[in-house]
Amino acid sequence: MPDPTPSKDEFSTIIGADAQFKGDLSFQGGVRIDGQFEGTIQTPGRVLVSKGGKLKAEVKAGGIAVEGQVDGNLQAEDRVELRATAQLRGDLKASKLLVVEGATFIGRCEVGTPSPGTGTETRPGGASQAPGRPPMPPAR
Amino acid sequence: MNCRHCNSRVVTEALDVAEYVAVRLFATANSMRIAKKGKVFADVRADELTIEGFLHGHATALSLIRLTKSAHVTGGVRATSLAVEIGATLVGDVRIGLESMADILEAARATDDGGDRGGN
Repeated sequence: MPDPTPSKDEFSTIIGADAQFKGDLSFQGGVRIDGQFEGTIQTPGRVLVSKGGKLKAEVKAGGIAVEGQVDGNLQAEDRVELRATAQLRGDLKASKLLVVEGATFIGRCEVGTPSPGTGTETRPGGASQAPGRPPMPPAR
Repeated sequence: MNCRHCNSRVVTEALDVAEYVAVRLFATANSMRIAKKGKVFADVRADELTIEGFLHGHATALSLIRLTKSAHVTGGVRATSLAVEIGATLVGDVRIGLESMADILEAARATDDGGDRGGN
């Protein structure tokens, strides 16, 4: 079975550690962000925010792995991976989620629900809104 | 054992839930497991929480919340760490990490320091 985790070699686009980028990024391959990025990213490929990377963005991708800092909403068709050093503040929508011990995640989460890649937009701004409280069931 | 602050009963046993439970709050100071057949409509608090079945409500754990592949969770999740197996469903607000648990861990530490240990 192939490893769904993106390896560092599979990224055709790299934003270097000393680079700052503002704008919209749309492409077919994978991107690795070692520096700072602000804007939107859209790709059917993989996105890796490496340890020193800082992302302030809306991301729609095939798969996303986070080792750095992310402020914004993530949407992945396949898997989102929050590794030990990850800090995510924002909403997350994916088919699969992996949170490694040590990672920080504050936001709304939708994992395992049908058709994550399309349809509903995630809220901008992330974690502020509480979810609808479940209705009180009848007492036993 | 009773809480030294509010004198309400504190459950210290590990809980294994494999049935339908609908209450306001379902809590233990120990670990809790909602088994595959478990269907819980409640806010759940535990030291460590494993969910294999269905939970509708907010889940809080001091250490780890583990969602197995058969888990269905709707509601907020708050813990130091979270493990989600592929196949699990989770919809709700999530606060994971030491930073987001600081207030609860601080309160737990204060209770531990000042509480009765092994009395009664």
